[in-house]
Amino acid sequence: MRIKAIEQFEKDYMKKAEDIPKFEVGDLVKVDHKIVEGGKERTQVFQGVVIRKRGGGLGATFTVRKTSFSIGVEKTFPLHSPRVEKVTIVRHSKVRRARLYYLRDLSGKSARLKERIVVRKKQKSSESAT
Amino acid sequence: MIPGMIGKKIGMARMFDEKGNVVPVTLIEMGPCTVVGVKTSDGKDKYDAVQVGYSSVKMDKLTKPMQGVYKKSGLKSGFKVLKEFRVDKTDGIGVGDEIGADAVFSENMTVKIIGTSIGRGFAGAMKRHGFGGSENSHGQEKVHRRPMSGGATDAQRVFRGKRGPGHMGNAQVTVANLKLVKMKPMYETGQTEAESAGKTPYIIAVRGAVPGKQNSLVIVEKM
Repeated sequence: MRIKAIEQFEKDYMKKAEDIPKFEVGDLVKVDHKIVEGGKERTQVFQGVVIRKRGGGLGATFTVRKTSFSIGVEKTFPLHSPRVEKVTIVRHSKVRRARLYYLRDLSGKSARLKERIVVRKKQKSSESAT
Repeated sequence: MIPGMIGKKIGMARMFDEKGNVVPVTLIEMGPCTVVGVKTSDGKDKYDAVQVGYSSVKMDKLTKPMQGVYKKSGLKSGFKVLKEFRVDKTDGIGVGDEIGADAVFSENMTVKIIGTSIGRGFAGAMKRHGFGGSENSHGQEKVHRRPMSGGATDAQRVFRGKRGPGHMGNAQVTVANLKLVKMKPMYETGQTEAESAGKTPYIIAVRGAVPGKQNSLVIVEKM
């Protein structure tokens, strides 16, 4: 009963399953993120590697890591937030962990991930657009 | 209409506001409540109030005196919880009326919630009163979490209200000024939301925390 009631409530705020691309940990993604800057709203694109996906339901979040001017930057986005407009998969990677925290200690060549070529019949999002 | 209702805490969840900010909310299954009795200032009670019952239960599950209360009101079933709310006017409220949460509350309302806090048993002074405790090292022995002095020695007694270990929680707690951010009717599988609007339990979302455990009884009142 309890679980059902929470599901009923969260359903109104959840994005539809088909609106969220099926990205995995290790994938290079582009996140279109709405931010408010100086009273104005604009969309900022944050591109990086997904190093963590956590939680279920409305509380699910994912963390994207990128290196900006040789400084590591990580951002955690709520998956269902209306401010996260769009997530685009740029490329998939071959990873053997669910949490890629080890990337924090690596930089340059060693921080690269091997590309995983996905062969699927129907893929909505752009596939390895690099 | 009555100023409050009886419900059950479902648990905590989150939602997004119109700006996209995350809002932590507690969900409460609210009502419906059935009017069991009406008291009027003209009658023998000398004040206006409405008695409501929540969570219907078979008559034979109740004690004889409680069965008498419901029988007197002419109700077929009894209720687990009976609560009286003071009202200004009892107009239009009759025994047997089922009151849904939509008749009492609306979104963006400020409410007061009465619940029973989570019981913590016999708790030490650190947990119960936030005492600091003592060091873990530097020669300390067996005193790490102790409350230390009981007060001055001249009095030869401990003053009343001296904070120490004891029973914590499982007491009535009232939290005021909580904002009701969202409410919607609960529905069963195969039903739509619109079909069940009205008398079914409502899910109300209150910003922040509410005393008590999941499935514990809470009383929500308008402020």
